[in-house]
Amino acid sequence: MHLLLQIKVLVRVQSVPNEMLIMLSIRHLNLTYADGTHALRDINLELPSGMVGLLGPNGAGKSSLMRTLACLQMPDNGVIQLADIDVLNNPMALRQQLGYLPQYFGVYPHMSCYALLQHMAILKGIHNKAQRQQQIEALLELTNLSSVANKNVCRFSGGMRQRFGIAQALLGDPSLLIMDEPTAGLDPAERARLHKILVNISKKKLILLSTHIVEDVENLCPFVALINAGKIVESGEVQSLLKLLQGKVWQSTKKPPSSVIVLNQSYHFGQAIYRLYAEQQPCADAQPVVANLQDRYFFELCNSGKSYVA
Amino acid sequence: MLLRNEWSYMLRQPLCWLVCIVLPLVALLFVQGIGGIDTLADKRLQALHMTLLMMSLPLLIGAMAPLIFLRDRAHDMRELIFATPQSQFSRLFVRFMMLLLLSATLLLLSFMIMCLILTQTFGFQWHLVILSLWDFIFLALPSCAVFSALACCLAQRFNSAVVMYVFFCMVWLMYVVLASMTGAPMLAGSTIVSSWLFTGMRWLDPFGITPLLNFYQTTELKLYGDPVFYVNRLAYCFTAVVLFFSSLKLQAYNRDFILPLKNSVQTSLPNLTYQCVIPSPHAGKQLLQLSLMCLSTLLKQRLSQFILLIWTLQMFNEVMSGINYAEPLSVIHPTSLDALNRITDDVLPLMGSFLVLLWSWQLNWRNRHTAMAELIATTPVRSGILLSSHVLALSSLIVLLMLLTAAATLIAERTVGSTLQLTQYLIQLSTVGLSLIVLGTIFTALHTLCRSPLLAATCCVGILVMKYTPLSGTLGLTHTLWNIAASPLQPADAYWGLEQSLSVHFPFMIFWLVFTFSLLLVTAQYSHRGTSFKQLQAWKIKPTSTLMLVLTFFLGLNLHNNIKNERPLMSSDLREQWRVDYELQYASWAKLPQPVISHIDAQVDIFPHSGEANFSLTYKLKNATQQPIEKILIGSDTATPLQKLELSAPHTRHYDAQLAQYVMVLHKALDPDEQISLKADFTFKQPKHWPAVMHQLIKPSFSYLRGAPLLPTIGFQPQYQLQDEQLRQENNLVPLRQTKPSVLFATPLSAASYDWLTLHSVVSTAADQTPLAQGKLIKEWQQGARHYREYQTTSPIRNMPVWFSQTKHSLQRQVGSTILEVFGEQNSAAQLNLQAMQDTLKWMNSHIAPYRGETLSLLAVPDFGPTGYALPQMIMIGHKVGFRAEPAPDAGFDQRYRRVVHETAHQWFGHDLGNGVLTDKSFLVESMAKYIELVMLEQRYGVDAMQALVDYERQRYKVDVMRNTEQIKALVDATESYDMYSRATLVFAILRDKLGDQVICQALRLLWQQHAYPKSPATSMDFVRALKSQVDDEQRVMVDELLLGTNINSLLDK
Repeated sequence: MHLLLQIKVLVRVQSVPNEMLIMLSIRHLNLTYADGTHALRDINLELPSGMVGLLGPNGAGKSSLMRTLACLQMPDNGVIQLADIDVLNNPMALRQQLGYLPQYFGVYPHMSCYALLQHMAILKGIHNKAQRQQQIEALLELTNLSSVANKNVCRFSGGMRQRFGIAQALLGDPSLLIMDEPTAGLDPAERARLHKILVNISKKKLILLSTHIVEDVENLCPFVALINAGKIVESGEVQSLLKLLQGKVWQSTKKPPSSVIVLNQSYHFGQAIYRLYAEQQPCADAQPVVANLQDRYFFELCNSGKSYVA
Repeated sequence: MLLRNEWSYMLRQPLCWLVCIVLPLVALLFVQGIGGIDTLADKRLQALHMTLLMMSLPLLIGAMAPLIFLRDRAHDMRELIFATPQSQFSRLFVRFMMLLLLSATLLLLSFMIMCLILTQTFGFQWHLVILSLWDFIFLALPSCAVFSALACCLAQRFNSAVVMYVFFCMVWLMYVVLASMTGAPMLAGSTIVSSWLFTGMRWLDPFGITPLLNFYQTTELKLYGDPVFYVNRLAYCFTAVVLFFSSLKLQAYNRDFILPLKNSVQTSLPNLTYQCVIPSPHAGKQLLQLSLMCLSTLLKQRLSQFILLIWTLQMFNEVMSGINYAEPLSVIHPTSLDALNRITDDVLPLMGSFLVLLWSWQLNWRNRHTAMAELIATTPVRSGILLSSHVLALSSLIVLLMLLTAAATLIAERTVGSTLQLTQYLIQLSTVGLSLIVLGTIFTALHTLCRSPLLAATCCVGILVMKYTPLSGTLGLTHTLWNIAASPLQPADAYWGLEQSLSVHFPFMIFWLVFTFSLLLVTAQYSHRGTSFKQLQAWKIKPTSTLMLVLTFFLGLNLHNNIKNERPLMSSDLREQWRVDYELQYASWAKLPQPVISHIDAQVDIFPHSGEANFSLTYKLKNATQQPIEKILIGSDTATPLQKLELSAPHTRHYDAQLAQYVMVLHKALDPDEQISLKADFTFKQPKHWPAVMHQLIKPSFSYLRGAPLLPTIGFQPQYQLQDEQLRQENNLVPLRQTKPSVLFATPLSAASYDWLTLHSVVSTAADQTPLAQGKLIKEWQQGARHYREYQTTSPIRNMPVWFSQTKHSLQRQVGSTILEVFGEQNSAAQLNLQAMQDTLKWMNSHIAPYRGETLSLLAVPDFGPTGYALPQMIMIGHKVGFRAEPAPDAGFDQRYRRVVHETAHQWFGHDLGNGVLTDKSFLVESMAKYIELVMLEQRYGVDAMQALVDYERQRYKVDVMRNTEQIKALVDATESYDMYSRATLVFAILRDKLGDQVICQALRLLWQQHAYPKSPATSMDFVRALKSQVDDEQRVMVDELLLGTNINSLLDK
């Protein structure tokens, strides 16, 4: 709530529905690595509060964008505005409102889960001991780590470590949560648990979820941005993104003719299932289906030449 | 195939390329400054190979081994690699071979570079190439094999790069220590401390160096070794094989695969609520938390605990091993100052710097190594706080290091019953600690600025290389600021504490502190926050940082200007250029008649507390030539300009400001035997940005002002000419073609003349000090809170005037017409020194020639130069060795007595005869004084004491011969100190035995009769002729062999 109160100027833009307030605005963001890789190409994005999914294939630039948003690396140029904060010129202001879960992270040796959370809490500025303890215990409960709170984090399994990462990201009161592949390594139960947590806390925050698991985005995010080859190819509410495909997605168990655009080929009990894009029924076996985010995702990949082929 | 695969991996590693560049460069560096035409090329080449091998191989293997053996673990490739169908043997063998081949190839390349450079000086010689190949096959290859196998074992057992780095650094350090204890010629100051150790090392030396050094002690070299050498090499080849096969069976000490904790399964989704806490970041608390975390992480490491334990033991050992050491065969009753001096000047800063290097690297890259960097970097902690936490943690570790050092030293002191001085602990340890903290902060800043750990580490190592190796000197970077994060602070001594250089310490340290602070400010702005990600947008420095950078620049500039102004010829290059210009400009004056200084009237007012001395001099110049003199060349000290220069005769003056030379063109030529007077006034100011050094210094507790090169000189000064023929050639100067004295003076010399004068001094100082000058004390008085003394020489003395101001009381004794005085502590050592002066004076008076002066003074001086130094009528003896020391329990003679005899003998050998012929070497000065040592020791303490001195010198000589790579010269031609002193002792021991003192004394008396002032000066060859005139033909052959021959085998065998 406090963040919204702090917002002085709210901009309404076309890609965000009128009733949604822009929380994060990215303009003309470019990033080139030392080896010449142009990782981000003129990124322009305006994101509302709530959960936002960033979808893209491997190497699309998701992590580069996440790290740039988290001020871990400086872009070549561009502007990032979080509410009234000019992020690139005032990264400390962003860090005070940031919860960050990178794709890969490690832990200090010889430190218990509780001690490491305490360490992170102090760095985040939670100095009241009682409050700190209370939040850490609540987060441990939330991430189902209470029973191993006093165990060395370096002995945690991948999933447990990922939950520790989520807990540390939630320390304090972050208004911007950047989570790079947060469900990686989590079992279905923990994944569901995380989803519930994220949905609960997303009302007054911007949670930027980077993943290539389309299902996660579909389950959680009302707003999505598709990124490929360092460019934002599409962004908006999920429903609006799907409009384009409505009535044009077909499913078939038979291999379609080569002229048909295959959005995706998957298997069900070993049986091939083809998701096809066509204005008309592409083949006799094809049945119309409701388009989902995954179809849109693969549609964009098709456009960039990275689609599955029949 | 596998090896090629391995090589393609290595080719892509920057460290591999770095090593490939650095090692040949090191080889090039080592081979710089090889000797002249007298150098034994093959011995020199092998010594160079040995040096490179021992100094580089452990570090090379230590740097490369983790890259080769631990890469799977470092980059999480273990499971992928271990799953390939490759046996452990083949995997390890290929890597072992890679390390072996890489290190061996680099060494071969470096050996060949050394050979190539040498051939440029000595011409191409096949045997040098063959020797290089032999050294590679028998010295380098087995060593590479055994170190590679050792690395393989360590990698298998410990799985840690840090363990590997530390282990090989320790191997390197331990070998250097062992080599210095077995007389390795490549290490300065090394000596064979025990024959057992030497014999042991002959068999066990992992580099095979000691078995070869065994033959360096003789003139008959065996560069290709003996059976012991080959057994040693074979044994190490076998050891390498055994180690490699053992490594296959070794299990990792710390397993990588950690059994994960059991996951707590909870299928139901409870009602979860997220409680937020509004954070309020507080820099102080973040800093404390981060610093404590850094500190505790490092201190929890076994490696750190091990290092701290070893450190403490090493410091204890270092202090204990020499706490009461004064010099060989001489001990002192130690104090805390002596105990701390054992470590604070070398071991503590050097080892401390290496630890700071390691810790700064560990602290700064810890977050990246544990993959926590992104988590930490995104917290609302300012980069400055992150940086400061590393600095604070590192500083705390350095403080801990100093505390452990203090504890170790204290225990050592209590063990030997030393006198405790707690303030010394505070002063000395805080000085070293501050320097290490500044160095550590610079390292931290570099790690924070550089996104590549390799680049940051290279910069840090570069700083250490500049600080602790001769590289900076070789590159001509002799400015004192190249000693980064330190000042030219000299060790404290019991005479004057840190007075020698304390004034230097503060300006330098203030500069480094401001520099470091500025660096921190800039670094905080451009920190990569431990992530190594790109941070810089543009170089926009904050106003505070800009202000600090400007302040640093001006402080540095001011410091540089002060350094330069106080000593204009601050670098060897500048001094060399001055000499070249001087010779080019004024060499023609050598042929022009010039007056001589016949008398000096000096008014010298010394102000010890303000560091100044005012000189008012009046020279009497006499035309001692047969020609009229039309112009006079007057030189002055470049750093001490003359305030007044007046010639009593009408003249026209030309001044060369660059070389500080005056040309006085007389309006009326100075006729033969005519005299004129010259008045000169100047003020000598003690440099505050340079440590006090010989031969001019003014400090509150001791002032010493030798006339040369402070006083104006008359005529061309040939001693300023560049003597090194190579340098002369480089500077287009005509070769000097210096001929050896044995050839040059084969026939008696008649052209030379003495440069002697009479001296009258009125010297004053602070009321609580004693002013001293040469000559007889005529008058003494106090006036205006100042102490005055007037001195007058009654007969001419060598032109080496000197003035002192000192605080010690004197001990006096009248011997005949001569007053002997000792200024120093009034203890038994002072009495002994007086006795030695008296014994020498009496013996010389009665056996050689009477002493010319009325007084002979001996002063205790701080330990800032040679332990003994003689000027006409003045002797300086180091306070530590001369007044605090006493003979060690196993000493066969008293070093104090020997030294004073030696310096007293210089009143005859050096300041009576032995001067006036610039082209003669030091035989008549130093070697003859060694003869007097033998005589006086035997006379005072008996034959055993004399024999003990001979044995001691023989031992020293053996080590020095081993180190020597020059062709042996005749004793009268010798320029090396071990020849002038040790060999001379052995030669005169034989001459005394075979000819007897009577004969030698008779020869010396003859020498005095023929050459004493004002006759023509004597040369070394005059003594040889005089001695030969006293003996029969058979003995003449022996005299020729000993003094003019080059066979030294008879001297080495006992």
